[in-house]
Amino acid sequence: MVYDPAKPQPQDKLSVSQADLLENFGQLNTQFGVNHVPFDDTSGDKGKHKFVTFVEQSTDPESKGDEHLLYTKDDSGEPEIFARPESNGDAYQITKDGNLFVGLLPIVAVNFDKTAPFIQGSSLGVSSITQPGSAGRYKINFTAAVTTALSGSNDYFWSISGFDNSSNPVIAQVTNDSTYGNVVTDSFIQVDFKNQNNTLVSNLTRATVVCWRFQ
Amino acid sequence: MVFKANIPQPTDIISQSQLDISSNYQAAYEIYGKPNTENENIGDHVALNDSNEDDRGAHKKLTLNEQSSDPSTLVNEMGLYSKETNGKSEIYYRQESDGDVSQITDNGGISVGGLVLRAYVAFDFQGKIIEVERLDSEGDKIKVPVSYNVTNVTPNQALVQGKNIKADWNINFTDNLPTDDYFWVLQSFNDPLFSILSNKVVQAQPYNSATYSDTVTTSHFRAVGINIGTSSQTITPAAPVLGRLQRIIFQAYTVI
Repeated sequence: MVYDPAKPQPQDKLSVSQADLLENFGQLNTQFGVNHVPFDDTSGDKGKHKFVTFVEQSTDPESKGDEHLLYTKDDSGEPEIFARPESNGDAYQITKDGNLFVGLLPIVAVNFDKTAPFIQGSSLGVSSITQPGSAGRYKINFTAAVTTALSGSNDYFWSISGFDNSSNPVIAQVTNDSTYGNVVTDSFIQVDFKNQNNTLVSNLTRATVVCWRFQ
Repeated sequence: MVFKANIPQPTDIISQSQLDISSNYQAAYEIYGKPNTENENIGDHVALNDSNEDDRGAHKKLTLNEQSSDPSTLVNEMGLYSKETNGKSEIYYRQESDGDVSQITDNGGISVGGLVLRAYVAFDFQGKIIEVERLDSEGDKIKVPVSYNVTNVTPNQALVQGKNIKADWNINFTDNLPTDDYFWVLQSFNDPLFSILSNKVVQAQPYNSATYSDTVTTSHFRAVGINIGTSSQTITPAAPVLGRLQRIIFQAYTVI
């Protein structure tokens, strides 16, 4: 059964048109109801979307003035959501590999203090924190290895910050080392919190580390 | 107006069917999409008889009715929908072939990789939020603050002749953050003239305290400028700094 927009015709008999009309109304309700609350719903939500199924488009659809389009297109074998601004503007990608596409993807975020097991609250991408050596030095161990096709596996970006109970500055940084791969790897990052005398601080009240990688 | 999907029936008389058919056309018209002049949230689409023929068939908006489970997707399809999470409707998407489900929104924020940016601000020593020029909808230049979910940045030290002279600020959030265990990014850069004259290095950092809530709360974050001395020189007091930091940036994130 299929919706037939050419029915009924002027010469059709009423007995024929009845079946055509019945079928068309049924098809309208069914097809509209695939993504929407259907026409014959009684909940008060009729006409709203249940969800939106984007069928992959082979090319970027045209946009007119005062329009902004949302659609899917293939990206490396996966349909991903794209948007196109008005007047056939430049299309841009919204999703990639299960995440929103913003260019930089957070991979690690953790809040911790000086007391084992260190981690405070919820974290992202961190399995544990260990203390290699003195207090004030922490190794943030990742849940999964960082991988990216656009850069080396340890060429990610980081932010480190913390404070203690002293009246001195707390200088937060990646542990000094002549070999980058010793302290910034695809499975951990090692960070130090020091005062101005280059001494590790032992009374860290709280610190936070966030890392991002290319998408 | 009720849409009847099962009319007309073979046994219906034409006078009855005419009313049913007319009623169905009217119901479909109203449910599909009312004209833009009617703000009622019925119908997500441009009206079937919209005066602008080019707009017919297009969407006005997208109202995503909460789903109780993740809808199925076929190959070469992607699904966008809403689902209840922690008592709120949040937007999700699902990759093709019943693939992975990803949460897009969380408690009023956008989730990227499981992290939600809850607040950001760029401000100067006085606590004035930096502004950038943008064009409004009529093409006029307007000033837009470089901030999100930050009402203001207020000094914690007494002003001198109406000026903030000490680097000690509260960054006040417009809406409280959902947890005080959030992640922050705090960076600054120094006035080079100040560094040359004083031979001091200054950094912005969280206010030092043994009590976490003295510095980090759901409603504000306390940042200070602090002097970094050399190995042979300890500057007392180290904070707050008397002098300048040209620009301070702050961001706060939570996980979903």
